[in-house]
Amino acid sequence: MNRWDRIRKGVIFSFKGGVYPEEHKSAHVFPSHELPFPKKLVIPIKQHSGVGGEIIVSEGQHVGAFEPLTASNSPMAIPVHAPLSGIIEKIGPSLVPHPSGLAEMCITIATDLPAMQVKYNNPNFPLYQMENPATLLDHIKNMGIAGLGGAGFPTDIKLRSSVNPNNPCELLLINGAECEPYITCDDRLMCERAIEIVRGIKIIQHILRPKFTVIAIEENKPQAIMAISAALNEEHCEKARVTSIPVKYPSGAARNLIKIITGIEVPYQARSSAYGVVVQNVTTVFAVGRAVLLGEPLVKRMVTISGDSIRNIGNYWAYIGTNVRDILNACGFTPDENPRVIIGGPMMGYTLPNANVPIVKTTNCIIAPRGQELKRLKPQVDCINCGRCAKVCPARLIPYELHDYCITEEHNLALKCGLKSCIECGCCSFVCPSAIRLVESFREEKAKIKAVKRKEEKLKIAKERYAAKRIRVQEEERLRAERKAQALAKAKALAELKKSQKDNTQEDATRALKGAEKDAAIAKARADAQAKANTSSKTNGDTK
Amino acid sequence: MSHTLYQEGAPHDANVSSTGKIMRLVIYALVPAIIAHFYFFGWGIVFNLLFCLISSLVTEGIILKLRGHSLNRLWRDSSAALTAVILAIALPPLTPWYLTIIGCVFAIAIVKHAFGGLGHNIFNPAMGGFVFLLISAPLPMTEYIEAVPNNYLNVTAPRAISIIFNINKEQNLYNAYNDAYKHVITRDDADTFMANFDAITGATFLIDAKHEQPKNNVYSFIKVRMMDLSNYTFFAHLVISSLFLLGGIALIVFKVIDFRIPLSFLLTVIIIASICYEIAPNTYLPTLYHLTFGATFFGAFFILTDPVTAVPKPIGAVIFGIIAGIIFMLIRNFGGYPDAVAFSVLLTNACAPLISILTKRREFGAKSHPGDIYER
Ligand code: SF4
Ligand code: SF4
Repeated sequence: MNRWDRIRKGVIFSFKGGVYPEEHKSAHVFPSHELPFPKKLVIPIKQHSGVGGEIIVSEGQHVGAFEPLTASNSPMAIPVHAPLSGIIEKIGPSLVPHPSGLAEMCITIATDLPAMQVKYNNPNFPLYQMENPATLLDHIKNMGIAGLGGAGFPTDIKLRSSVNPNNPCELLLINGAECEPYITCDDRLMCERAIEIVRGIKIIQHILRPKFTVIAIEENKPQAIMAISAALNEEHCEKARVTSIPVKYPSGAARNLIKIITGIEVPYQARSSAYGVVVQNVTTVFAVGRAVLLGEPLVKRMVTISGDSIRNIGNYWAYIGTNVRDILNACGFTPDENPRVIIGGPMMGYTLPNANVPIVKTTNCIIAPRGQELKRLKPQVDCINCGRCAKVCPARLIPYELHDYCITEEHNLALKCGLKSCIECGCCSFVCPSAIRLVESFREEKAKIKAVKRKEEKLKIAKERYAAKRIRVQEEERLRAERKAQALAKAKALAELKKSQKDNTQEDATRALKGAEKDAAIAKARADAQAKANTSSKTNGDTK
Repeated sequence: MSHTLYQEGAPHDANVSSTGKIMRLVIYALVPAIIAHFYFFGWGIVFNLLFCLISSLVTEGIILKLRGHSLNRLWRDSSAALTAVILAIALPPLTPWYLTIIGCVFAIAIVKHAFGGLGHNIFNPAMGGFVFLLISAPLPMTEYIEAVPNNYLNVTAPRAISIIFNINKEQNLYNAYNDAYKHVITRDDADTFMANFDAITGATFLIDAKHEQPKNNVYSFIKVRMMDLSNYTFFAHLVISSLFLLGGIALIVFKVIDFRIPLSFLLTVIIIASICYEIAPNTYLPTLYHLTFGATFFGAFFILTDPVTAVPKPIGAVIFGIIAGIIFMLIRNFGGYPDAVAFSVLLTNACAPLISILTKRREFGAKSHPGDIYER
């Protein structure tokens, strides 16, 4: 059986490492709900990985629902939109969901009453089959779609790199693994909106023209598997299959998923598109479908609200910009002493320092655990070299070694040990019997290396500027010396001319003039040489 | 809702395993062997355990306090207790009390804490303490009890205690010997017993075999000795070794230790021992004897696998086991010490950091290339 047959038949491979945390996925049984209508929405202008766009609205202005709020020509900047119509109340920095409580530029909208909503019309392409992929990709960008699985990488860029005859997409991999505990929004979405997801898949198929499409779903979601399979039939989506994969964390990480489905290990230094595989999250695909077919930008998403401190756990449709605190209160949040509010899953998420922050595009889950429901970290003791961390690392790193280099700030050794390949999945910290904060140290080290690099770059720019300036100054000096020499020669020639005029012989005069020219040339050469000597001695002096 | 929210780094969940739990599981896995030891060799092991545990825990506690740590580490990492139990099993059952205590204090204070405490020690503490005693007091450290059924009835608690504290030692030893004689009489013939045992204590089988080695007489020695004893010594050691093996396998099954080190170590031992025996059966012991006598299985599953002093990388672990096996067989077959576990463990420990640095792990995606998806 060759690789393609295996992919088509749904034969799966396995990857080394990974852990089996408790699943806590009870929220998946409840159908999704709408949250109470928000009175105020706070939209951070940058919600993806990349740069924020420029704000194209002003305070006091009335915006319609779905109206773009930012715009930019930069490919890494994708716009944000108004989820609901209302008046722009404030444009300014405000708290965003971030582990250290960052404040970033946000646009605050005071929403109109539900009955007074007005809609802004974006273009849509119900007959996308007739469209050029480039048009659709631009539209996907304009609708503000970024990877909703976690990192928030602009979707259009990811797709664009595979719309390339030299590097075509062979396999489209739709990621419905959802391997993190607690999170069930993808599961719910697949159960409830299977048809729309499959429509989204068809649009991406139209853009990428892959040989085959695999929708990978962990086998603990039988309903979702059934729903998507049925939808594939119903929508006549060909060359596609649902492959159920074993439950293991982190099988939803892109590279591990590729390994499971194709058996290929894409190195962390390479992009998966170079290997002919494009991975998209189901929620992203759903958003693409709505954007292309209905012209609806990414302004609403499903969020899992779970944890024992929440009375009504479940999956909720939340507008981007809705306040997390309001959501928690609406779901019946009863904090215990030392409450934790975790954004994202328990493995890769982070605790919020302040719940007064908005939901953003990449927020897939909010967990408010109670007591020891999620074990609080034990005090750290020394590493006993047991090697458990290395055994579970899906990136095949050796965390305990890496940790040593990270805490001693051996940047180069840490990089050599594969720090860059660490996906911060948390498996190593999860199993460590000494409760060593491995992942934390890796994150810090990454930040430190970034800072060092930035500093070096700045230094390099400054050096370059300095060098350029010196060359310019030298050039000026040389020119000046040249001019001086020319002037001197001219003066000399003139003097000679005068002399020769005294002699009154025409021939002499021309000869003298020639001689003067020669002199001038010699003088110029000398000046050049001197300038050069100057430079070299200066540089020598510098290097010393 | 105006609560301050508690913050912590990811991940927010953790496995149940902890260092202390791992160490305690290792101790539990040793319990069957300890009970068998009690049956064959009497009360000595109980007092060994008692003295080792008390002196180790007290030393550990004092040093933890001196180093400014909290005392609940005693329970939380339980490593001092494990060291104590391993040392107690390794020591001869009736070791004088001061030797036991010196060994434990040395193991904990010097071998472990002087190198930086748990996780930083280069050498296995228990084996460090054992070798320290073996070198400083060779005689009492090679006096083992002969294996007799129901030996706890002969080497009773009062007798063991008085021997350990050197009160009326000769008398008590003689009493134990007498009782053993009576016991054996009831189930076996007296002559062989008298012929082989002139006291309840004596050198181990391995030491006796070692003495025969220069005379190239090992093969016939085994024949005579084993026949005479109705194989009882062999049987006792076989039972204890099997229990170590079972405990070790249980630890592997419950993922407390990795199978690589014991497996590579034992395979190396079996291969070298077989080759030696094939070549010169009169000079070297058969493979099975190498496995049953001495602490071969104990060392393979419980001492070599001490995570701190071993190599955790997969390939490194195999190399570690092989080196330990080679050193072990070299000492056993060609060296002066009959039981080679302690020395081979210490020597291999010394190699561990180098092995660890020199072995690399295959990177994720090391051999793949972009055309792989088209592969047939
Ligand atoms: S967090 Fe990094 S080092 Fe730890 S298991 Fe995950 S990939 Fe490996
Ligand atoms: S799991 Fe923890 S204790 Fe074990 S080697 Fe890794 S860092 Fe050290």
